[in-house]
Amino acid sequence: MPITSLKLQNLRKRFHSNPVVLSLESLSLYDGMVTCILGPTGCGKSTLMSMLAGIDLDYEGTIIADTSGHFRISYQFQTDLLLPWRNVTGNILLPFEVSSQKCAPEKLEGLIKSLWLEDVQEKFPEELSTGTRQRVALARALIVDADLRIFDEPLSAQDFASRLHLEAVLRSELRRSDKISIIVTHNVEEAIVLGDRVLVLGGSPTRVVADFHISGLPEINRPVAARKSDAFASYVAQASAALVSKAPPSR
Amino acid sequence: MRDHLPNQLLRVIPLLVLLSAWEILATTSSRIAFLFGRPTTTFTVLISRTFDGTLLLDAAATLIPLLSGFLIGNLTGAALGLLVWRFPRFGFLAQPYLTGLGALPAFILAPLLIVWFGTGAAMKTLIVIMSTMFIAASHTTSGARDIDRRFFQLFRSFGAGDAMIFRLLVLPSIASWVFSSLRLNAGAALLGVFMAEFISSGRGLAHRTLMDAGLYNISAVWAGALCVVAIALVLDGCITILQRAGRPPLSRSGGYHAPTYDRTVAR
Repeated sequence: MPITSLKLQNLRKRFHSNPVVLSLESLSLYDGMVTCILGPTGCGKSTLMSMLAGIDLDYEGTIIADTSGHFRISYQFQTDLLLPWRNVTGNILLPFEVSSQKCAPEKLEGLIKSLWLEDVQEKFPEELSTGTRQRVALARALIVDADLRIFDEPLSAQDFASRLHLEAVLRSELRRSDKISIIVTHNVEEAIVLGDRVLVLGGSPTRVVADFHISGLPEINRPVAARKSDAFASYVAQASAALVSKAPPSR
Repeated sequence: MRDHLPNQLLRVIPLLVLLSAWEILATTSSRIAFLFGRPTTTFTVLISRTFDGTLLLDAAATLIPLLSGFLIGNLTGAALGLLVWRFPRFGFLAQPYLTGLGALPAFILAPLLIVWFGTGAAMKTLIVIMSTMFIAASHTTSGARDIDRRFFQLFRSFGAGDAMIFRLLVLPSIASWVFSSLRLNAGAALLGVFMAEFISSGRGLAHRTLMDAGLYNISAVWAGALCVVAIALVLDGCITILQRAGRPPLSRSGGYHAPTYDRTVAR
């Protein structure tokens, strides 16, 4: 099994000739590891994600994707970006249509079942609630076997009960795929439940203000069990302290 | 939703009342009959011209330039619109010319075109092309520009190339704009071909109507007007059928409302 990694070095982002807004000295992400990114609104998390996804190429420094072959990316954007003229199944299968590949039917069925989309498969985006649309977007991001998976606030539109269920689904999908996963979230608890590693961004220019690994949380029934454990509370305290330690970026 | 049959019949009543009153007035006064024509005479004119073949010849002389010009105008217009969108530098250069030519009523150039191409089908076709091309171009450009740029990023993240993005994203996105421009252009094309015939031509429906008006054959003028209405309705019906057939295959399973989907939902 080839090791895939993503290395960031002296990464700086500025918009036009404005001052640097994002500055990351050195960061390595390895496969099999779920990295959650926390940070105040507007600190450049989404900008960083589009740089990592290769959409935004206007930056200083290097991003090196170390892989044996073609580097595939799946990216769940902050907004669902569903095509209004395709039904739910058509939207989920879009990446396969782009790459002219076939999706294994049991994989599609499994995702549709675990993301509670069985009753809406034939429906069109305009007929769905925001939460359902987000789950369709999540299915579309999860169905691809990508080397790098980016999720930008993947569960923000879900109610708490669905969130617990979907955290479990997301965690097990990402653990099973054994690829690099990055989840951007505003929810400290979610970051700790989902992540093997939590990065807290903050300051001005935005940089990594805390970087810690999560261990010792139960894997079975993780969203609920983890929240009950003692370690969880200390991680929450740690992340919260890092978040409030830096003033939000001036805008 | 389909109306009940009695309701459909109800809609015809105002027309019948109008026509009967008209017919009665025209029978009682020869002055009214001379100035306004008679519905029954209009009907007999339509019948006799259908059987002696003049209606068919006139219709062909009008419809062939109309339809071919409509087709060429919309296709080249849409292609031009896409070029303007895809190559901003070209768009920057072309924009003032497109706006200027689009604002120009094409039949202003009819006298010139008559000098160059005569009064036949070529001149009429050109006027129809010029009447439709610029609306099609600007609608296509607007449609393509209206696509949320994050959709392009999404497709890039799938590893999609330009051709794939065009087929799966741009084409379906601009479809509703293209159809609305087809509808607008149906009117513009009709106007173009009739103006061309009014200005100068040897045959055609508008040419015939102009002759009838010159001979004070008012009932025959109404017959010409009826033919125009019929063409407009048929053209609109064809566009509707095309629009239904043009839906992407996945959407045919139902629940999709092609022309009216709310774009803002995708934002």
